[in-house]
Amino acid sequence: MRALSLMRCAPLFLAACLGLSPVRAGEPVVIVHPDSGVQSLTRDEVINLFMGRQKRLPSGRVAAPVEQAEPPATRARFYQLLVGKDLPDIHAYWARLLYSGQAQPPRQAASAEEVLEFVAANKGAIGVMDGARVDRRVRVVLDLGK
Amino acid sequence: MSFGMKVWIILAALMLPLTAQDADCGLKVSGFGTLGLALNSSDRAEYVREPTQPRGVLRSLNSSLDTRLGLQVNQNLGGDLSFVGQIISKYRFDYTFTPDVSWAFLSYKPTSSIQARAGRLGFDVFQIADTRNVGYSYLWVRPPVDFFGPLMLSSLDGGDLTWTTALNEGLNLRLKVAAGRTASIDKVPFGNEGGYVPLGGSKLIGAVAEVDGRDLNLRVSYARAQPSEKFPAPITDLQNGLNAYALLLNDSRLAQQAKGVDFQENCFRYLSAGLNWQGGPLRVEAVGAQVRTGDGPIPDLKSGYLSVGYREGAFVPYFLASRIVSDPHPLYLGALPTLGPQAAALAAGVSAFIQHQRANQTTLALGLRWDFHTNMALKVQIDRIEGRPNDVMLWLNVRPGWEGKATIGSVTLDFVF
Repeated sequence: MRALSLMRCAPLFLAACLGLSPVRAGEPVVIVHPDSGVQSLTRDEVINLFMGRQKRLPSGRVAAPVEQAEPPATRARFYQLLVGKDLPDIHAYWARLLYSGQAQPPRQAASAEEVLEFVAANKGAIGVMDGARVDRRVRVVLDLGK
Repeated sequence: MSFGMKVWIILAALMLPLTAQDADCGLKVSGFGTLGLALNSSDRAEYVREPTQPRGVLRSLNSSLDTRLGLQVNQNLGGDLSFVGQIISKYRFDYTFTPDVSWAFLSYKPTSSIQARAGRLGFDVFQIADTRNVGYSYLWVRPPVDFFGPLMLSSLDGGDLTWTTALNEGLNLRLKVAAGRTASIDKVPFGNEGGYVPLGGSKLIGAVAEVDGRDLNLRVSYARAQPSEKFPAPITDLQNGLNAYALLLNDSRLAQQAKGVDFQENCFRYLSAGLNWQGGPLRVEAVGAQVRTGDGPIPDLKSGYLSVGYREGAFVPYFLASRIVSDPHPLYLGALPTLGPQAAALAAGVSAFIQHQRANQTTLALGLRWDFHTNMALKVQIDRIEGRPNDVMLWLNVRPGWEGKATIGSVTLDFVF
């Protein structure tokens, strides 16, 4: 555990030295469009949106969740932090919801840039991506690595 | 190759290139499937996954038990409206894999807490009842036969209404009511090749209450189905015979018995409660159910299962125990067995029919799920079944020498795409 927390702190330290944004490199963050009407989200709100239980942002807009699919480690880390589950469990969970006709899984984006572009272009979008790649086009509403 | 298979291959070929999401027109095509092999230690009774299968597993490798393929279309119709269509190909009553339309419904979700659906839809009478064909979504090679075997209803032509509310942070309550008629795709093979008992057209109403937490899911459900179809000729013959003797003997209890043999006289009531917990690597599922019939000789059923699994990287070893018990209503045959060979034959026929409605058995299973690739899982499972040899509801073509005991070995490859 000690080694792990040291490893998690290292990028932060590095980022601080380099004078970069306070978001830790490599940790997934949840982002929205600056005009989405959402300032921040709780962990439970994000669970509801990414696990297909809630289909609207708190501002009332229909939500369009999108995930950074590559590299898979970013998604794996997100779901481990969010609900403590491994990707195969998340995939099995979605198979049940999708094929019983209840809900559809989040859109998969191939890269961090693709997530940024989609979120920056859609006021209802809510994305998950590598925190180190976030820029001014979007607003971070939850940093799970914190 | 059958006509059904050909249609299926053409459909699959047409749709596979579409397997992707198109953000602009809101169309998404996806699918799921299982390739399975199974082997039975006994050659005295055929093991089936569901009573809609016309032939089961004996002492030679069988690939039709678990193999199935499904294709689904999700079409966003703009705003709060969407369409879901699904077809499934699996081994069915007529010995073919002819695909059936399992879902075709419109979904309307005007607010975040209300959803209304209408068309052909799944009804989760029991936990996971509406995804029992999607092997990738559960741990085992197949849903416990002791539990799902008697539950043949899979699709509903009608509507449902779901209301969701947050109880507190991270805990949601979902209430659902459904009403309609069971879809005509559910047919139990009977008699000659291709013959069947239709299960469609039964009036069904039901309700589900569900609490969803981060790791925990609790649910209670109730449904009642009123069959509208009569049993086919050999069984109505039994009924007519009973009626004739009831009249002859002036035996009102026997007449009552004849009435109870009728499908239509039995309103099936399903009550179920279940728990699903998945915290960290550990997952536990426990479900119990009761099926009640009419006052006639068709028995009530009680069943349940307990499943425990533990994820270790890509592997999940698991244990599954299931049990079904029939609560036999007394079978009254009056003086019938003593009235000569014809009446005795009738009595034997009625007894045999009732015996086919009974199940009393326990299954213990050990298995391993291996998520070896994204959206693919390989599973192996060994089932040991022990039960009363005369209660043969869950077995096919029982031969002399059947002792109610069998070991089933299975391997499946489950995938979604």
